[in-house]
Amino acid sequence: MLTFIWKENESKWNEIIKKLPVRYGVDFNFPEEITTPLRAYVTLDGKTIKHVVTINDILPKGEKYDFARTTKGVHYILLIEKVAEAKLNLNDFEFVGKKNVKYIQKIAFVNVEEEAPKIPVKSKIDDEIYFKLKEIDERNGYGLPDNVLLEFSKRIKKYSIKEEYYKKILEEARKDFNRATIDPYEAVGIIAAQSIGEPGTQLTLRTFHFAGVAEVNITQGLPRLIEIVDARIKPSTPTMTIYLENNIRSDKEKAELLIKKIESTRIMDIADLEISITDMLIDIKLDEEKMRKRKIVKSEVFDSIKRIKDKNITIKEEGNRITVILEDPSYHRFYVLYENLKNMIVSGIKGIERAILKEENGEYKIYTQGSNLKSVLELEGVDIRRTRTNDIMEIYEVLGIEAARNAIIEESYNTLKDQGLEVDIRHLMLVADMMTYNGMVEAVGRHGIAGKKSSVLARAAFEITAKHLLQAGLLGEVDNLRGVAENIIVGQPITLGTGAITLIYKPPERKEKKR
Amino acid sequence: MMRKINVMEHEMVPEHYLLSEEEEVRLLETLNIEKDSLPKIRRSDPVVKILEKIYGPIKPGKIIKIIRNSKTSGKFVTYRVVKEE
Repeated sequence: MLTFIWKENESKWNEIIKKLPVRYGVDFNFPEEITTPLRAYVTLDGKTIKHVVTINDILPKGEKYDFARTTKGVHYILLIEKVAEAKLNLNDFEFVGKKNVKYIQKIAFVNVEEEAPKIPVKSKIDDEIYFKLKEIDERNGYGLPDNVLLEFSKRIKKYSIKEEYYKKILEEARKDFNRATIDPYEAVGIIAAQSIGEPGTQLTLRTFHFAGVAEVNITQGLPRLIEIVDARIKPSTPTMTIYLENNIRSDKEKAELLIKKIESTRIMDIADLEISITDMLIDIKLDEEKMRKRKIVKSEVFDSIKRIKDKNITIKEEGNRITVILEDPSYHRFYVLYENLKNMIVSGIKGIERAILKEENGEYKIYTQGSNLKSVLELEGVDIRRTRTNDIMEIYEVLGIEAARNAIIEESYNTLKDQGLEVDIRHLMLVADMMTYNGMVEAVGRHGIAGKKSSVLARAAFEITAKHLLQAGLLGEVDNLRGVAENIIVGQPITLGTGAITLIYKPPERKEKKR
Repeated sequence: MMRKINVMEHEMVPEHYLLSEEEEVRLLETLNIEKDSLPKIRRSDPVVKILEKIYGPIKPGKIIKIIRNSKTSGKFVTYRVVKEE
């Protein structure tokens, strides 16, 4: 363990102790191959040592913590978790070759630790009988799922069953549960594929359909299912359902104000643009009627145009006209400027084309065309908990892989359900599990899961046979024949069901016949 | 106008916890598997980033415990191992 002596002034040291655990930037260079934990003896007066610090982690400057970049002279950031008391004299230390003992004098304070977020507990069960059942279940190692136990608890209350029978009930339940669980090495993937595929033949093939909300188009049926399973970066019709926070849920005025913040308005939505190539100028004629409808004032438009940082541009304002002149003879740049101006967002969130307010079950919700989950969640007044989007990749980026898994299940289930098809959710859960196995959302098919199979023969059997075989030949790939497809090709028993396990029959010992 | 959000509050995000080293050993023993067989989670996953604010830096190879709210079995505990991008 590397040990060093650390000189610190009193006020900073007190601050460190107050804020434990804390990150602290130092201007001292550690040896390159450094391992944590480290030990540091802290001296305040340069004579006596009163504290021993354990440093659990060291980060090089600039990595991950932005504040480190702004402070001059910071080389490393230490993670200090514990401070212990010590009574030592600095003279007691032997500075052996200055190899293991180092002396740090200048230290920069960079701590800006924000309050740590909490992990919200979501599944709270408050049921006395459930806890008793759970206790019995765990003691006997039945491993019954919570939903089963909760269901029992409900029935037990209904029929007021005595406590002495609980164990017997669970024992019987375990037997039934065993019968219902799928056997090891059963081909669940094939079953899932068939279970989704068969009702899939009845799905609508037409892409567009007016559904759910008036005026908002949502892709449905087979095209939508393909979209989910292909893990497209953008769905063809992204849409959001925005819920509002408690205090403004039933306030129409405030909800409408929020709509203004959400719905993006481009300049071309509220003005007519005219260009004159000879004079290199763009004339923006604001339409008052349209501006009133979208609740936008002229100054907002002017402010956003002023945000263009280009020295060659002059902006003139005259009544309802804004003139932008480019003093650069390049037609290409003029054209780019015109396109930028046309699509410039005056207010609202990028990507959200329309937002509609709707009242349902006594609360206002906002439905949108277009989606931008991150920006919407950051808006004041939006309910973080319930707000949804149908863009799975966006959920993956903003809320993480587990949320993306939930989104895949929910979206595919609802797509099938909207068409009146009931597919067991377990099949869809399996698909979602496979799609998110690697920590990323991957498509089913040759670009995703199927393309990453380790066996050459299995990949060749699926799609683009020649490419895979050629590639494997060039690279000298080895096939271990562990999967199904490759074993069928070579004519061996496949690794499924009874084929997956090796059985050795041990005959009962025969007693030798007495002669 | 902008506010800081804790994405773990969203109802689609299940509870995530970081396993301690002892818990990791015990888990792998009871499941009788190698770490590599567990599903993965990126180190840059938004939820891992929030966990880092609570537990400090999380290195690849750490196991994260996830308590899902499953429609079929109620509370369901699963694990993901942190991987480098």
